[in-house]
Amino acid sequence: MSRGKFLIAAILVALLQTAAIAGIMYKRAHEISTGQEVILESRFVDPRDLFRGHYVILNLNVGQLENATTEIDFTFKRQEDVFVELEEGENGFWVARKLWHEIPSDHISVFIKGKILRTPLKKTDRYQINFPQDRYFAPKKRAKELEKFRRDQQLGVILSIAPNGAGYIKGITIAGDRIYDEPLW
Amino acid sequence: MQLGYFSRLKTDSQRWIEKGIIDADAAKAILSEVESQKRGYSFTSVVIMLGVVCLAFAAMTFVAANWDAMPKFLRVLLLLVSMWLAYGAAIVANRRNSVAIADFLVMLGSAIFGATIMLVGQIYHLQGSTQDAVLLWACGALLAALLLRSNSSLWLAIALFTLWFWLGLNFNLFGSNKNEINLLYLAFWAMCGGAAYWLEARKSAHLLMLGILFWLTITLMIYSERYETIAYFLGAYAAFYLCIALAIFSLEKWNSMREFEAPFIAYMVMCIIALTSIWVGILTFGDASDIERMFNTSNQIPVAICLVLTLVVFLYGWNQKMHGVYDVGFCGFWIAVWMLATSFYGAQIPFINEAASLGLSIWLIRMGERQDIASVVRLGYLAFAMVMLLIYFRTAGTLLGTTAFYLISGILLVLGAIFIPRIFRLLRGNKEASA
Repeated sequence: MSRGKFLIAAILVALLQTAAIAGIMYKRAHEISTGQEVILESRFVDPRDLFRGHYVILNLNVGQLENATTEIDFTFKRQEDVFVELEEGENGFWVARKLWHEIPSDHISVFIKGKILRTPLKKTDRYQINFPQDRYFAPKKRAKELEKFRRDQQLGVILSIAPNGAGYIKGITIAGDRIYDEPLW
Repeated sequence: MQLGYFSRLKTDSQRWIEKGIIDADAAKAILSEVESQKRGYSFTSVVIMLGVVCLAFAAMTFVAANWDAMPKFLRVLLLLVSMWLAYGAAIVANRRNSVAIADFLVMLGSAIFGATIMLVGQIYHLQGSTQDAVLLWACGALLAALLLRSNSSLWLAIALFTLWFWLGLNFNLFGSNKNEINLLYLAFWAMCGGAAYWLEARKSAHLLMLGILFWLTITLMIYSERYETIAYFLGAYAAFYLCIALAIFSLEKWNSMREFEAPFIAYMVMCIIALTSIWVGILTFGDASDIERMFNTSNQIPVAICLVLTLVVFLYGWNQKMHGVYDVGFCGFWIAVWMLATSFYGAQIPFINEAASLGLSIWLIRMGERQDIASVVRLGYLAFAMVMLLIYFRTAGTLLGTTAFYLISGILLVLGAIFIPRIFRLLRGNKEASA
């Protein structure tokens, strides 16, 4: 391979790989700035160990839904994609209204996409839904700061929801106060 | 040149002179030629290289210490700059004709590309699947390998595609059928295979073979749960023999695999051993009604196609008076044996699988010796040991008895080893006498 060709090829490779990274970052920034903001309540998975390494596991309340009180479009199977229709609750947190297989064409609500992990076995059982937003990465310093909050204070995850149901973490609230806002870039 | 080669050659040449293989002048000429190939050893360059390593570590520790304090965008920018620097250094190395260093630097650039994808995912809380991130990384590495003709980057891409396949698996392989056959891996494998052939990348070829072996093992584990699809299983089995047949002639005449024929044959033998193990495992431990259904629905067409193709290859070799025709004939023979084994299953010929596997292991040893492929010989011995173990499990407590089977097998093998070569010599003698 001639030197000239190698030079051009190397620049092309570096450009394309940079473009791929930039594409990921741009998509996130775009969705965060244009998406619908919702706050979902989350529980601590392990109260003794809030941060495992550099992230906290988020256990969103909308991922655990009682069979008796959950409305669905039709029966779900395990590992199926699910769109959870959200509505704003009384305490500022958004809650699940209905489970859908697809986003209805005439919708006006906000939908978040997840995957059915478990379907209810009986009336009193519950749906378990897994969302991609299952952890929040935090540097050591921020982890230390978050540790000072009491475990019984309500943890909220601010998400920006795209029209296709994809959610992007925008920030964290604790006891109703916005603790962190993620920068666009 | 390999370190210590010159000293070894010096000792060897002395021995060859003593044995009269070469004379002193030839030895001198060989040694002076080899010595001229030795690269100059510069202690200064080694010290400079170690110094650069120290500086790199200093930069890394500085960045690591201040990592948390840096804004997110700066962190990504830092990695992207490192990536560009790696490709820039590769350009410089290429201009200085340091092909190996340029190749390594291209791989380093691809590795940093992957690290950047992972870091962006982490610092921006992007929650896409790891599998997708690895796929993007693999595509980036393959792009670098193709555009910059980098063997190391290709190696990385193959490893990443295989990792991508692995990440897509549910780990309860023997449980309920949750895994689907990943055919897309084959497409990526073929792309990398084409690149390895084009770049003559031997290490990548080895990794490709290991990758396909891994894919096949997993795929057949998934298939073994679905008994009605045994046709694919047998088809794959026959295809391996066909591949060996083609590689044997390629080794002897065509050289279409760029001297990768010997390892290729060894890998195909590995596939055959793995398949035979799974096959015997199904027959030994499978549910009787499932096995019955499996045979009733089995389809011999793919096997028959492979058999016909192997016979065509055999006839070509026969016509061309090729040395490897004997082994190619055996490939066809083994495909036919397995076809019969599956067709006659209803009649349940006792120990047909064990007998065929025993014969297979012995042929592997002989074929490896004839084709001068040490790994195939070793695999033959391994297969032999495995068959012995299998026979033990199958015959323990039966009417025939383990000891009786070993005794009969041992007598047959010893007699065969003594008399078959004599019969061949006798036949050859008669032919020469009649000529």
